[in-house]
Amino acid sequence: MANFPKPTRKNLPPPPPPSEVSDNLAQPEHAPAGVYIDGRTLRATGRTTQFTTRITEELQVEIKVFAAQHKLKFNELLEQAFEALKEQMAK
Amino acid sequence: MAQIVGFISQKGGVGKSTLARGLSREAASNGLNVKLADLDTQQGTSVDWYRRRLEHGANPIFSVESFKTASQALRLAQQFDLLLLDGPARASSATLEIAKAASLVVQPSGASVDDLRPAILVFHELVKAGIPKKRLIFALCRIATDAEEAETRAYIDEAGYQTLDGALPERASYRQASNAGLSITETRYPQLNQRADKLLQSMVDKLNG
Repeated sequence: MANFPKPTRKNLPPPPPPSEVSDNLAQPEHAPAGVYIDGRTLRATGRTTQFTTRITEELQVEIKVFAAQHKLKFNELLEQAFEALKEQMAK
Repeated sequence: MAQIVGFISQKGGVGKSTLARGLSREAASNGLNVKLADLDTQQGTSVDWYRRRLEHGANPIFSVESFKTASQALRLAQQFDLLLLDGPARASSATLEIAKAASLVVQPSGASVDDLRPAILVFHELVKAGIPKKRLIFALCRIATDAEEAETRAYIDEAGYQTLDGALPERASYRQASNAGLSITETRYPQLNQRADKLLQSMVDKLNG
């Protein structure tokens, strides 16, 4: 009786070729920490430093009225006024 | 300057720490000054294991330390005979740094395609980055049968990589030993210890071959 070698069954698929590599080795050693974003993060303006000065009562009233009429906060008014002053002085 | 062996993998639970601890234990038994560097600070599994080992009163003792980065651990290479880098379960720039410094890069893998495929791709990427193939070697872990071992070896061979002689079979006793701070050559069963020893000896032979 002839001897047949035991048939081998291949259960595993072929291994991946070198062309399939990704760029894992370029990744940082530690995974970057995720940044948590909520409503406050999105509303943040970066205005965190207090700015205080003394002015006359008349100027304060005038600024308050102007800001209310133009729907500006004091900090927005100051920012816009400063930008305008810089532009004017540059001329 | 120490001989450096890196244990790397993109996946967790494949046997990096198990083999690193086993090799540490064997090297220390042979009188070598060994440092096992645990690079996974989030889990610190080898550091915890070593704490259990000290509590258990097992011998020999050696040095296990946690490091945030591979380069921090590599700076200590001068002080030891053997530096073992137990990498995190992630492929990154640190994997390449380990592979560049190490005389031998061991990647444990199970027998499933889920384990083998990403493992082959990590070695492909290291070769592409200039690491010589002869420094990269697979260690078979959690193997169930001889047929499974043979098939896994054939898969790795087809991909163009070497596999260490011997394989770690899937046994609860290895986990029980680990739970008690013991290594894979310190289980209650001489036959399991011998099987682990064969795999580790193959690693030593490759390192000094």
